[in-house]
Amino acid sequence: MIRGNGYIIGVALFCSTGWTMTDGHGITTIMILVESSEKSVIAARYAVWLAKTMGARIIALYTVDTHALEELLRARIFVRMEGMDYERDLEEDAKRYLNLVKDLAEAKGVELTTVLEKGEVHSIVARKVSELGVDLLVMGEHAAPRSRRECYYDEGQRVLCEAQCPVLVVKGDERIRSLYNGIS
Amino acid sequence: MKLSQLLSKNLIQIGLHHSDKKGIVEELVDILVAARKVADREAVIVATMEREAKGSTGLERGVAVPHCKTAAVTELTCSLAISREGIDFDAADGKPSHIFIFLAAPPGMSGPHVKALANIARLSQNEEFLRRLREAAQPEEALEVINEEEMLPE
Repeated sequence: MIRGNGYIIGVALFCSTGWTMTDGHGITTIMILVESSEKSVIAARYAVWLAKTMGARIIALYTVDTHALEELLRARIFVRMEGMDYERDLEEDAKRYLNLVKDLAEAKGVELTTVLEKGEVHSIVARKVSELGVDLLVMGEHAAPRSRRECYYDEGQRVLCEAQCPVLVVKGDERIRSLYNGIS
Repeated sequence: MKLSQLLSKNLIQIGLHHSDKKGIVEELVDILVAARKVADREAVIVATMEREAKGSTGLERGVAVPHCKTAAVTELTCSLAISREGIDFDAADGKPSHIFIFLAAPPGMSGPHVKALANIARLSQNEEFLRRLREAAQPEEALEVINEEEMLPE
């Protein structure tokens, strides 16, 4: 099993030929679910460490949640111009975080491709996992859901529940910084 | 971001003194001023009224969600006021508004702001929850109703 400050849903094994999924297919493509949060950056550091260890490439995906913006327009909480203004803000934020994650990977010589999408987060993640042949999805820690309703509405929880590949939820901070800083 | 994470009893007021939109916004902002969450009262009021001028945030079912983006707050900030009698807030259905949920966010916090508003939009669909909240006699009771609703397993 993968050891470190995370837990993994799905199974990976380390054998003499390297990291392998239980279907015998090596882990070659790791996707990081990037969000505008420090926990997401911590997850990215861990993904870089994993990719370096496994010789994998990374895809960093940020999905601007335009589904939530549409919901606010429908509810009349937002007017159209306001929704567009917020969408621009969210897109700028997405670019900033994707660049940050790219810098983290490049600093350690790990190949990372950024992908910026718009839509319903869990649906986009599921589609991209399938399209891009992702072996492992890495995401930052989310607060534990307090109800089944929250499981349904929280996009992080929905990604966790609906992803069609193993998912690694990264926890901790200092240990991960140390792992990341230890990569030459 | 859940309402129960943003609110505490000192951010909830039962009853409103004003019956006009600007007066209500001022009262909602003053709750935040009293809690030392706002650096510039006037800036928040102006930003909120400018937003209201683009279209009323008075929704259906007696809920109003005035909000703004302003540098006068340093974090996503929320206050709640409840009027049993109801006040005209140019609601979408033309009916009086009873529950006023105010949100102010600094620039650069659009993500959490959108999440919080989306959560409020969902809560605003639940008529039983809104009835219980409208009838809360004390801030503690209102907070309990919100906590229960947001923790309710379905």
